[in-house]
Amino acid sequence: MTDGSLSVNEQIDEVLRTYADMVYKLALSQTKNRADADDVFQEVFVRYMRNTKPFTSEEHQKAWLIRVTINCSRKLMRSAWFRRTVALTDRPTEPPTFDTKEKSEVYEAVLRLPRKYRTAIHLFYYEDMSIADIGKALRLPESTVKSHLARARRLLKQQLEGEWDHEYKLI
Amino acid sequence: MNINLYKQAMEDIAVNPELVRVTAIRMIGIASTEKRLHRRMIKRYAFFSGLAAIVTAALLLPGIVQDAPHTGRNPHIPSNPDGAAATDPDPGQDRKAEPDPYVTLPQITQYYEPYQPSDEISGKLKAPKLPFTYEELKQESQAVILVTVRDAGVYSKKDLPLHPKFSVNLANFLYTVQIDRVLSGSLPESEGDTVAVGEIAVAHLRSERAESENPMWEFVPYTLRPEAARTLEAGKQYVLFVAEKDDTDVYRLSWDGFGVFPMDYIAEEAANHSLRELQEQYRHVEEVTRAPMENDLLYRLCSLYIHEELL
Repeated sequence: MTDGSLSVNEQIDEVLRTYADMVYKLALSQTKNRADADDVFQEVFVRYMRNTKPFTSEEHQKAWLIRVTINCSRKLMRSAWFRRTVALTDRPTEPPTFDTKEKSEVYEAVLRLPRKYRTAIHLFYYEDMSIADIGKALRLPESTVKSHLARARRLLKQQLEGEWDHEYKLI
Repeated sequence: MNINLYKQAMEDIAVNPELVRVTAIRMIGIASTEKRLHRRMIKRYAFFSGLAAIVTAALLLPGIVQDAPHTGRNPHIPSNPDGAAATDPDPGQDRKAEPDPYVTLPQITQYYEPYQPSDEISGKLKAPKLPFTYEELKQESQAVILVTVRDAGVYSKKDLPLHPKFSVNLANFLYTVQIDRVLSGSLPESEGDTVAVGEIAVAHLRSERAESENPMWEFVPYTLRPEAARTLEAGKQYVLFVAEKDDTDVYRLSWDGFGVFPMDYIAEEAANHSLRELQEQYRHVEEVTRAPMENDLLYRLCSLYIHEELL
């Protein structure tokens, strides 16, 4: 193996080390299905390799990956393949399992949210992104992101009625 | 209970390291063919030591499925519904009835490459949904066309080298067809006589030893079509229900696994049944219970509709 190919390997390692978790879990939050998230994950990084435009900063690269993950997920969900297929019953795709009932309930409640609200919740609470950064990544005004978060919280409170505390993180 | 539990739940979900490994290998494969990486990637070398070793080691591991070399001809034309390799039904006979020479359309060679059987399949397969009625089948179709098949085979997309072990949406069953007549609807005037049509393909076990540790899989068209209509044979005439073209210039079958009707099958059904007889039978199948076993009845019914309405 040449020094040049090692260098490429190292760069691939680095981008996967930094962003594999982010891309996979964002894809999972979008598709709600581990099997589909696996497909989106691969497609995003294949697209990353084929992207010819240079990134100007780390933030630019992260935002690009977020947008492409969301777009690939959306493309998959809109495809005739996705709409017109059902999982084969003899080989089901297992949903994630958690160690507490509460985690399962909140996870499922978030996945039941409309996609745009789910995206905002995921980026804000899981990725710890600021509203400004979410707005930049999704190319949305900050006011829209705020509104998505507020509506998402309201829906979550309705879904988990009586069992909902204050959010741990405020805008 | 609060939203913090969502973060905890997500943190409990691990990315499959095997998925990361095979993705890294695919990325390295792309980088080796597209040497643009250095110019566009952000160079950060602080934390590469651990995973670099894994990826480097992964390249040396056995069992990685290599991309199939493009041979210029699809080597795999499945003919049996159970996925068994195609066999000559009468090997002793002279092949004088050989159809026209093999034809592969440019859009197929541009966007696809033949898919090779693999022993690493995700097992996360999906089956297509099917229409409930002939009207639904026709409503979803841009056109109904009478064609002669020139070639058929299983292909994967060139620009999306997903690993079969982690993909549910991997292969396409593509066929090159000569349009003999447009029976219903319309195709663009600019369309030529020969077009590509595609539907999804799914993995089937090549052997019956499903419990085997290393079962062999291959992709074949996903279909609940009757035995006689499961595969497409070059030189035979079919009625196809097609939707619009996709981004690879291939017409998609409007209902994967269903919208293909061999002319000889239609003729045979027409000779053996009346439309009223099959309508009566189908009417008595409750909609909520219509399961794959009733598709055969729907298929026969649709064949008779095609015979009466379009031919």
